[in-house]
Amino acid sequence: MNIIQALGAAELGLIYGIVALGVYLSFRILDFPDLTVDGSFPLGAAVAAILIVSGCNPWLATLAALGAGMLAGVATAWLTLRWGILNLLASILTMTALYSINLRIMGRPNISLLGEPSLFSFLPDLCAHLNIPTYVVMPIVMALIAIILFLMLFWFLSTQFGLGIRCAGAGARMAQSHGVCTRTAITTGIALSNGLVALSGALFAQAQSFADVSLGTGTIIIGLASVIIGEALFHTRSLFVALLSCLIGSVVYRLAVALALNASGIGLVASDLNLVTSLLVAVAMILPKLREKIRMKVTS
Amino acid sequence: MIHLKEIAVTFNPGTALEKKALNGLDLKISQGEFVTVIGGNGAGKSTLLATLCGEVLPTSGQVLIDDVDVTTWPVWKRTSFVARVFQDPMVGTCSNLSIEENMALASRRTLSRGLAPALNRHDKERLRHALSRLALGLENRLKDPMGSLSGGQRQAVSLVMSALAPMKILALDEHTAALDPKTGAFIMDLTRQIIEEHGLTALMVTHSMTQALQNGTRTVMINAGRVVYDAKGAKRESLTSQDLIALFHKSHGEADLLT
Repeated sequence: MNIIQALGAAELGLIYGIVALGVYLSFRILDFPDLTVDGSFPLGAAVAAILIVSGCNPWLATLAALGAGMLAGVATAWLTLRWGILNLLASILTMTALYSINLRIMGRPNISLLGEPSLFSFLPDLCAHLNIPTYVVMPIVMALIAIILFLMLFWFLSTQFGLGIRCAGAGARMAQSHGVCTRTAITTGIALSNGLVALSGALFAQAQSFADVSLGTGTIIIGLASVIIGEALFHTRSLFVALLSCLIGSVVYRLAVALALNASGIGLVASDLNLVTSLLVAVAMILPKLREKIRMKVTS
Repeated sequence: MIHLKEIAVTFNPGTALEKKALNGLDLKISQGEFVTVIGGNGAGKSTLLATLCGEVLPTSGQVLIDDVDVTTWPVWKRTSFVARVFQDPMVGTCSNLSIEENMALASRRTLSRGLAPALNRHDKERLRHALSRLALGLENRLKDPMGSLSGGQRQAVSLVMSALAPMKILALDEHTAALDPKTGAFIMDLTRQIIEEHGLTALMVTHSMTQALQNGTRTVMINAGRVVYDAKGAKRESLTSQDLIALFHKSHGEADLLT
């Protein structure tokens, strides 16, 4: 792996780090296994891409992607909380629907953004001016965006309203008995989670100069893998560190993947990525149970 | 004043599992009263409490709090009037959040939740002070996760939490039943102190006849979804737990004959 590949992996890791923040919010904080993200990631990319090629300002396009993702989250939350559909199933329903919706939005399976304006249009000039290659600056810009979003999420979850969301996820009866409307809290949380994921999709589309309807496959597993790697690296009770570890976990994940794919001799190709990631998540979830079993055997 | 007016609650109506949990129960609680509620399994004690708190919506009847009809209000909205302590401290407090976060959440029970920080320095001082009365040393462990406390400690904290915000009535759901006798006694003492200090109106469901008589200003016995005995003042003073047990068997006998 050379330096360009490593920086590219870090950039991708930071983009997906935002997905990991969203997944942490739904899976860990709200205890809501939300697969909507497989649809909201390409939704964000689709909305941003179609708006940009139609001449819309990239900032507005990105904001619209955020809004679209939040709507997708509201749909899932509504199906679950209003109609009592199992959360996992509700999220699969939204995800499946989003596949068609994304095709409708784009009007075709993929859109190229080469030569179109983007949030990062200013970079080539800046880099030429500073005489630094773009592939160095891009990860830095992405890191800044990811850190700003991480700090905003941390701030939000530390507010009175945010604390209500965290409690609604951890103990709904307790939250209600202290005056938290859990329906509002969970809906807001899931909307925010999917908003972040769609935002990440919009950034991905602009950074990679394309949007594709099949972008979303496996997004949830990648997000989950990042969360789990982050948790393995930092055993923490602090929300600040836990959220930060999502970003770090995502970058570590991408670097590990890049390393594996570039190492000759292992024989892995890019299309093995989903298999490797699924195995990683499965093993990470099996390990604690195995450890528990072994400990019980040892003590008995 | 709290008025549970002609409350009927039927679970699974029209099915083989139909159960009339409350059957025209009527109960008025005046300001400052501390009512203890006793009754056998399935008598309707817990349903009464759940109806007051909003977890169960009555099939018919009304729940009035200070003349406001709250019958159809959801649980979270009703908390502006009702504070609750659960039987299981694991339900009443949140393991994943720290002690101070649990308390900060509880302190806004009757207030709106905005985008101000959940915990500021002033709040922390107030919470620390509220915890110090327990003399359990918890005031120095504000940042520890609630899950690291014992059941008794958690129940003590949830009592303190309930009193952090104003209320019309404190609902106690067998809140010492899951604790060992010594811890239970500690929690009961604490409950009495908090109720007296704040001059609270309270409704305590209990399985223990002794506890029902030793605490509070009024005792109500429930059977088959109705109030079958109601004692306060001098009448209650002279009552022993033996009398209550006799009454309990008598009302049960009648109910058995009726059904």
